[in-house]
Amino acid sequence: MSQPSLFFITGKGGVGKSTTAALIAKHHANLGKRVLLVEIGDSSYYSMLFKKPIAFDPVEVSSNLFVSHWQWFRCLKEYVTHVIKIETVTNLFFENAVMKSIIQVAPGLPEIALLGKFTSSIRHVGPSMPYDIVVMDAHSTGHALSMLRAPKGLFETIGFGPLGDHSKGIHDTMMDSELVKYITVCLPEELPVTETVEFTETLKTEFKIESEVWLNKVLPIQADAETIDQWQETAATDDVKKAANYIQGQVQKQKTSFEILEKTDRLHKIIYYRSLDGEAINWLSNLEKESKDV
Amino acid sequence: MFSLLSSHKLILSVGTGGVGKTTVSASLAVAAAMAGKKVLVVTIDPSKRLKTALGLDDLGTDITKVNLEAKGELYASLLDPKKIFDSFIKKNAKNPELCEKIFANKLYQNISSLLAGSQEFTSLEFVLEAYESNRFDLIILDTPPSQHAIDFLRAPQRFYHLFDDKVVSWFQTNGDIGFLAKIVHSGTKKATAVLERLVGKGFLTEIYEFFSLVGSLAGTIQRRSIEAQNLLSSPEAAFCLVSSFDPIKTVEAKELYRLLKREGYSLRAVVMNRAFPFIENTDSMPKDFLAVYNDLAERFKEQKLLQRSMLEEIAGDVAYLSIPEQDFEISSLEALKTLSQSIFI
Ligand SMILES: Nc1ncnc2c1ncn2[C@@H]1O[C@H](COP(=O)(O)OP(=O)(O)OP(=O)(O)O)[C@@H](O)[C@H]1O
Ligand SMILES: [Mg+2]
Repeated sequence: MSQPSLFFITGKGGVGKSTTAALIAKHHANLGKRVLLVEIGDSSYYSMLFKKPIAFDPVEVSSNLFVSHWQWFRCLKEYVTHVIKIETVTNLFFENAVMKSIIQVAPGLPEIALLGKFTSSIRHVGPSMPYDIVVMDAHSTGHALSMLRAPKGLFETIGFGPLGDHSKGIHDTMMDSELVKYITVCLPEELPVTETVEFTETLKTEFKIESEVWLNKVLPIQADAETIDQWQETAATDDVKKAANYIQGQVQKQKTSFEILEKTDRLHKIIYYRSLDGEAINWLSNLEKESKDV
Repeated sequence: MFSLLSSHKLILSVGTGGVGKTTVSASLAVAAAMAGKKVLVVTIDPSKRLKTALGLDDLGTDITKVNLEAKGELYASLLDPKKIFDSFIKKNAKNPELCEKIFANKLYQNISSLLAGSQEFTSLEFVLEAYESNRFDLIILDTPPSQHAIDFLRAPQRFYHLFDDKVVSWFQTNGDIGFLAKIVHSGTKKATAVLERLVGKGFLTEIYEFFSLVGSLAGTIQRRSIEAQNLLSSPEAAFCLVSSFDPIKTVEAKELYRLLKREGYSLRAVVMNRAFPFIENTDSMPKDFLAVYNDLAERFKEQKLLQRSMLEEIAGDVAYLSIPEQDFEISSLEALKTLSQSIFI
């Protein structure tokens, strides 16, 4: 199998990173690619979404779409086993109280363990991952930056040695725009938009990374500002007026967001679809279908 | 809501990320100041404009008086975990040399972003100090963003377990005599060899130094964590759970609700943010307006179910509040005032 393409999805908390990552993964699976959708962090969101227990070993949730939950500790263990080669020694290492404490303070180790696995097929390190595409639902923006900084930080701190060398390999892979595609998810609101602009700028200046922006939860309101003005003016009750104000507020927020973000390189929009009910896979398909028009 | 503001000395807003915790905390604080209290709001991650509104632009951790015309007074502070940790070390290190050594350690220099639980520990340390100073009638803490709100209560424990007695004393007895020379426990010896193969010896020395230096403060870290924990579970403290109308966020909020109740924290309010303005009577609406309204109401219809299920969950002594989606950005003191008036009267 040729090398997989990697997608790194980030964005402010709650903007729809996990949803967008799932949407992208589903899209490629539909095109016949073998896709691995990965979530990180302490607990699993995709278990709730797909209503199936999701753990380290990938689970096929629909044709060609595999989901897996990587806890950094497990990734680190896999890596150490790979370097040490003897599982009993690895176990001894991880069960030792002193080592446990050391592992927790080593700078960026969790981040490196995760990115190490993410890039492992490309670097030909560790167990094989037979996928065409790997999509990572990464942490929110602030944390994503520490993730991207970690490998460099580590190899600068500890210098050469196996872990130092690996960190450098991870860094080089992550910075290669042919290999990794970065997506920042955003909402059509002032704050997330401002932060997204700042974040994509940082990616550009610090890492020379060009990222795509995906704007989530766009409301498809088919009315112009003047018409809504009139609804506001002629509202017969307080409630109706509130509704008109709300609609006007949303339209304005979205308009400003589009204007600002259209200046970035590429902008995709995802519609605000009815809250998830029933099967996640169907919901994702509908979300994709409906988003075609915005 | 007013009883929440008047009968406690500390309010913690908790909830999963992206639901508006910071905004809710700030408007609670404004409401309390308007009602005559001397309030401190401690926040970790406000937007730039909110920061400006609160006068926090370059003052950082220092407690700053907010320029708000009110019967009471409003103070605000921005948490900077690193700074708080530094001052904690300064205050508690036995001597200035130790302090300097700790500051020079490479691992320590990265501590705030690296150590699991250090951010939570420092937030609580800061609040505890402000509480002990008796300067304020009320302190409102906007808890740090975490994937899981429960983390906030668990983290300090995790943090001081890092400096578990066994671990620290291991580093302290082994360090002086040459790091690898005198290891008593053979399991640790093998494990250390593995570690050395992974990271190299130089780095190992840095790690050893970190534990033996910061480890000498382990007792204090543990004591302060326990004191903070005691404050949180005392009747002086109240929790305000912030969530939004979203199926999965609601599930998480309910779990957190049960956990807080079970562990005996005084949970006093549940705030659901960003409600869609549903209307009962749409007769007077022009056709095109109605079409847009209906389309949106359909997209958000589940909010009604979520509200019902949340109300079923919460007991009578917990206030429920749903905050409508605002049609303005909440990024100025005026906006905060308007919001707090509209929700807390
Ligand atoms: N386009 C959409 N239409 C309707 N609902 C959506 C849409 N996108 C996301 N949601 C809902 O919004 C909520 C938040 O989305 P999601 O969990 O993907 O965000 P996140 O950025 O991953 O959040 P976190 O930072 O907590 O991980 C979810 O319950 C999801 O179902
Ligand atoms: Mg997520």
